[in-house]
Amino acid sequence: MPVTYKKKVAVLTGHCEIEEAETLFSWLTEDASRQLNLKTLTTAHTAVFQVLLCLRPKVSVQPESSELYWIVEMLQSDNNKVWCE
Amino acid sequence: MSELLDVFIGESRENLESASQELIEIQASGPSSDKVDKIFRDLHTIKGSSDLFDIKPLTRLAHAAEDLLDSVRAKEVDYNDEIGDLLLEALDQISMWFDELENGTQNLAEWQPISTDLGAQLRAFIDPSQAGANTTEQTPAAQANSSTNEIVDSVASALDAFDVNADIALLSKSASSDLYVIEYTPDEGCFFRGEDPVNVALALPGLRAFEINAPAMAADADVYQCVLKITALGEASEDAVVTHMAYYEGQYTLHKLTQQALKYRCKDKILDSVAQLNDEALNDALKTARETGDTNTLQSTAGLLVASQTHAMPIKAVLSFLSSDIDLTFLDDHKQVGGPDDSADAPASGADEHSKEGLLPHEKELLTQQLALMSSEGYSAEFMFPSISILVGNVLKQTFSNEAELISAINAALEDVQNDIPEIQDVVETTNATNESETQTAEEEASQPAKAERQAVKMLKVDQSKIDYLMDIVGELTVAKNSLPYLAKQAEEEGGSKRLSKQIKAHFSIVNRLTESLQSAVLQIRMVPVSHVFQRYPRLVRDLSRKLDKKIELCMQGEDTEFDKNLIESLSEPLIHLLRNSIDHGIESPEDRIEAGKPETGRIDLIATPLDDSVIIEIRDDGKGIDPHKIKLLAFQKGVITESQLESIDDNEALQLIFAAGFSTSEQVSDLSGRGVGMDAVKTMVSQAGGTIEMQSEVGVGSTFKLLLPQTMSVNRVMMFEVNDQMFGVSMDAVVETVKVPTQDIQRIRNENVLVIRDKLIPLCNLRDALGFEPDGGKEEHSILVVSTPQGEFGLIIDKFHEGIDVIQKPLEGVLAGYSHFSGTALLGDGRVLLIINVQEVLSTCL
Repeated sequence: MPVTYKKKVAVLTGHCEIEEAETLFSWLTEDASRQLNLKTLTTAHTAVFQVLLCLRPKVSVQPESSELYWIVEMLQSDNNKVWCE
Repeated sequence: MSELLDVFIGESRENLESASQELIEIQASGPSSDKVDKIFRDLHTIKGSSDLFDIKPLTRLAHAAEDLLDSVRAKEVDYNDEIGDLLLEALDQISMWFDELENGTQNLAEWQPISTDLGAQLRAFIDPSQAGANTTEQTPAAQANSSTNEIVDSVASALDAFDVNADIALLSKSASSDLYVIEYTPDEGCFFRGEDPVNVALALPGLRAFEINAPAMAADADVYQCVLKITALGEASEDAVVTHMAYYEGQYTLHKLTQQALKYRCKDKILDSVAQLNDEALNDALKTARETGDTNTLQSTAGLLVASQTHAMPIKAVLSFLSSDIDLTFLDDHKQVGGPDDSADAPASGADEHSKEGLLPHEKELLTQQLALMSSEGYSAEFMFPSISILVGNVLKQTFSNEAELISAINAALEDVQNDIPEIQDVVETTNATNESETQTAEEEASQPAKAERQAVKMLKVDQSKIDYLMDIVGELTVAKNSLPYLAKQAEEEGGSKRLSKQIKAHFSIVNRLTESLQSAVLQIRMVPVSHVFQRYPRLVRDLSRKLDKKIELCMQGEDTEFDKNLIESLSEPLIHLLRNSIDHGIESPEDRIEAGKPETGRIDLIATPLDDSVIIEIRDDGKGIDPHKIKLLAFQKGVITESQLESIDDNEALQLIFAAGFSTSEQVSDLSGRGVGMDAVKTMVSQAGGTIEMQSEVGVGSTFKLLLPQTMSVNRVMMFEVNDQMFGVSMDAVVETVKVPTQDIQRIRNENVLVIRDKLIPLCNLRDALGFEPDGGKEEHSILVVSTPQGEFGLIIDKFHEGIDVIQKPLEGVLAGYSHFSGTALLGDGRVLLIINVQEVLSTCL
């Protein structure tokens, strides 16, 4: 399971397929204080990213994967612009 | 050709065929969502599978067609015949490319412009305003502009929309000349097509920066609707980007620009930024660089300034641009008033002297690495800053004497960074809070539209050669089975055991039955409905009738009549010839038809009717018909018939003359038909397939071509007979009857042997003469095999009748191939070879 739902935090692991987007979205919208642990997330489908970018949930642990530098930056800043380094 | 490509082409051809069939139907009966949907799916499949191979132009064209159909399906674009024609053209193009792929003669460079052109035409229907724009904004005019170092307005506004300082930032990050800005707005339904826009954008070649515009989502929003807008900047050639985005054509706009143009655009900003910095060393270095072209000093100074201070984004970008290996000539285009030029007059400081020595390449590299580390996402000030500062400090110590100043600047920068962090966190928290209030009351309801799934067809695709092999084995089995009666005979004659013989015969009947059912089962596998061939014709008729400005309706009947696959394939060509003839010569122009009191629209009937073991295919038109007198005269003029024949020939025979070689009824040769080879070729092809063709026609009413074809060509029933102790066979279809007559019954009329059977005069042909055997004189009784031919019934005088037998007829090969007397050979159960006589040929030499 790429997404494990705990009480307050959902843990996203590995590659999150498009199918996860719906559950993730409803889980996050149910209670706005819910957070995401992206530590071991490596990649995700656009639909999942879309949920993250549109809802901007709190991220408890940032992803370790260097591939996802941009989502960290986007979620931390108020604009969704990223310059690749 | 690889196996995968093989399968791809095979399957895609089916898709193409079904798509064009549906298109034709739509053109005839108007669009229906079912049909559009089906064409869409067909094209989608082709597009999807084509991406497995390096045939991008084909993929792109299929994609454009698919997009257009998608719009038609969504009722965004109204279907019209123009769209249909263009789609058909695209399908034809793809089919032609498949031919090239199959032959291995594909030339992608040639494909490219065709694909771009057709694709643009297709897309013009989706969005007329984008007509001709295709994927790039770069028109020839724009290209001319870029050479004069100006940026087109649309590119400039796209850059500005990204960020006010996007230009300078992009400049500082790019090394090559080809830069691009891409605005990618995925379709709402793109997820359902399996697209993954963000990851596509992330994988863009030479990506330098990107922005994902994500509107806030209501709690009842559909998560499977893509609402993102992506803008990306990068450096890569147009080709590379277009290739990368091949799948998403129509969803993005690509702006192309050159680094040179960008430099000119950024000139003022660069100079302003330098002035703002008010760093003497930099100013001086810049001045020297512009005057002498020595950019080393400038690079090192700018590099150091980047490393040592925190600046606002544009200044940082300017500095990192200046620190790179650059050509500054563009800055001298106009002399800037004020700014660096004036202030740079001050004498160089001590630090400047040092900086003139420049950083060694490895030092510069080291500093750049530290810079990268500081701005990386994994950067953590507490842990990493000390080491970075030590490193940078060491490097700087090598070059600069007044290190105290530099270290204080670095510490100031550290403070700045730490102050920034809580600010950002505040922003994030506020954003979350607003989202919470919006979403708390909402309910979850995201409906997922069911994906349209193609119904699984319970079909098994088998390589035809496997079936052919199976057929061969069955053929051998038939031959082996045929040897059992011989064995029975042998057992009786040599072994003297009647019982054994009887048992073998009983066994034979079982084996015979099983072989027959096996054979018919295998034949069934090879049978395909004639619609396989017929379905290509509506297209043909439509195309030709448009070309000739005629109105023609094609009516087909009996498409489900089944035929052997090989036969059907050999049938396709002659039928096309016949149809072309009917369209070109048969059906009149609408004016002529109205004048003749016929409906404006001509009608061609294509009818297949099964008849016993054969199939009759009729092509009937209601055109002007063929005048037999005209044919007779033309045939005479062309030397096809003699003067005496001209007198004696009847109308029906005259009509059959059109099948003679070198005969063309059309006074004017058109590019469709009428070269005089058509009908001759048709006849040859039909008789090669074991069939016959005849035609009837009535002037002013129309013509009918009738093809009689065997349903299968694999197993033939032949009648065996003996001449001069040798076995021969003749196709059972030709045999009318067998008679034994006393010698005196054979009469001679004008040097020809004839026989009267039931008041019918039958010319005789002695096969001993015809086949070159010694005449056998003095027989009291003759065995005569009466055969039917298109010229009437004839009698063949033979020695002895034998039984009928099923054989697999093999064509004559090698040295035998030249003997037209025989149509083929077959192997008998006892191992002997049976020569099968070609009755027509034998008769022509004999009579």
